Amino acid sequence: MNRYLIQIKRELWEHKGALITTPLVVLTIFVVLTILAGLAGRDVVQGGQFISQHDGMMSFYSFSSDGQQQSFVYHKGINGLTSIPDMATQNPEAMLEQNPAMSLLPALPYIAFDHLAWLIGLIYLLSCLFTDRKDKSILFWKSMPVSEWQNVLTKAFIAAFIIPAIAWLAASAYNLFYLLFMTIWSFFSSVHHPDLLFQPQAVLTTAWSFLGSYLATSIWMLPFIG
Amino acid sequence: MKTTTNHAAIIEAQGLHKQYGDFKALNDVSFRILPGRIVGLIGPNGAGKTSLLKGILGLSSLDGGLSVLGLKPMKDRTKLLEQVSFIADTAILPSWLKVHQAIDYVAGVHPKFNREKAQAFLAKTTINPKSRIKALSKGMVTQLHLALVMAIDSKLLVLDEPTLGLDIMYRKQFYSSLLEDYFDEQKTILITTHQVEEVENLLTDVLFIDRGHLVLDSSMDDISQRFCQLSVSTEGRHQVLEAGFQPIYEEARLGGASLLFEGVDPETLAAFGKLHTPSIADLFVAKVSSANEGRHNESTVSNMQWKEAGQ
Repeated sequence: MNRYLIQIKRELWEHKGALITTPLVVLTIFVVLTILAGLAGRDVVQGGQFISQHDGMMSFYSFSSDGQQQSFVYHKGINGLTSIPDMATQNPEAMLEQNPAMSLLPALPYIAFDHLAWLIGLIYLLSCLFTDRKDKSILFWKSMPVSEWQNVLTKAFIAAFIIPAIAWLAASAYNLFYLLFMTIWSFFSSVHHPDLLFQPQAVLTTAWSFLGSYLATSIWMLPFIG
Repeated sequence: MKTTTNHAAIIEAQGLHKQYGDFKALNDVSFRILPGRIVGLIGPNGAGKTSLLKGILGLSSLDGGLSVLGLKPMKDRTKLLEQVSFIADTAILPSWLKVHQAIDYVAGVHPKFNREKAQAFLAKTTINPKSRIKALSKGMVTQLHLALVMAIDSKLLVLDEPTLGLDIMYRKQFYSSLLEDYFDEQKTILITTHQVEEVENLLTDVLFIDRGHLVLDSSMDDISQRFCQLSVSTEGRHQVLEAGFQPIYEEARLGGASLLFEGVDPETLAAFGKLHTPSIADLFVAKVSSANEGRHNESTVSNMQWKEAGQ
């Protein structure tokens, strides 16, 4: 087991920048931007949608197909947000049914990090073949009792599973942060409605459902491995 | 797994050939290397040394019969490399790797690696385990590579120009570590190098290779029996030649000449001048140039091809 583990470690050492630092930096940027947006009450761009926050309100804009802007004003929170007038009466599920775009909110980090994983995976697969040759160190690796098969499989495993897994973890970490941030934020603002924020099943369900789509990313990655 | 007894050859090569297009890198090369020997594989650039080593290590295929530790190198490469170590050239460790990671890695993949031994060896150097390889000097990288390889209990160690580009201190250290801390009767070392003088006292056997041909396969003991070098004055040189002795090589020296003989009884030559055992470098030049003359006569065409090949 150790033999396989050390091979994976080796890849993580070599490609630390792409595999670990990059997602961490992107995550940090997202977190910092979210905090800044929250504090400044300015517009923040997230995915293809705009969320702007003013005075404890969060407005969520989406664009309809005919280019007309539709605007809703919602209470802040990450899921099951509700428009202010209905807040007391409507339950989050009904809100979601009315405005299906809302359910995208916790999904956005996953979509963003999935794209990042694609990019990293592509760069990783292209680069891991060339750096060894460039500095002749291929001969050092070849002096070790590791078969070619094992090498190729390790690289395939990294591209197909480790990279998407790291991206998924980063996206989940962002969502957790967002939940926490919004909780604190709502606590200090005029309107709070913690039961709307705390819909943990929404966060978890999204995380779970995106596991599936990350697996699909893995499969899409496969043709590039050769 | 097949066990090797002391009498079984570590490397057994029968009629090896390697051809790149029209160019014959190896031409009917046969030899045996026994355990507990330190063999120098010596030849000019483009002689076929690297082709041969690559074949032995299973990195490229050779035609003919080749068995290393009873295994077929190409087919059983992974299994073979558990018992064979090699240092292919100086400073080829990956530059992004850190020293302690290199140790972790080899400890992870190599069943015969002894971590304590490697660390003890590194402790004697000035290498910081947290350094990245790219921050180390060329000499330090070689020390590290040697530390890794010496901690592997392998049966065969292949060194391809291991001290190229190192200063004299590191070169001396390299070979003394190898002899003192590594080598024993259970191990076999195969070295290729241009710096013949430095390994001369180390070797038990030599293989001379030139243009794909094996021109000499001999133990160092046999060399002192088979070859002798005679330093004579110009006048003495005439006397030797008149007496009917044919040197395989001669070289002009200040006020005389140095003649190299093969298979001539040293006693009969002693009267003409000063006798000694030729150095490996002298012997190499002699064997390679006499072999070339022979081949030149038998086939000018192949020599032409050689020149065309840019060597």
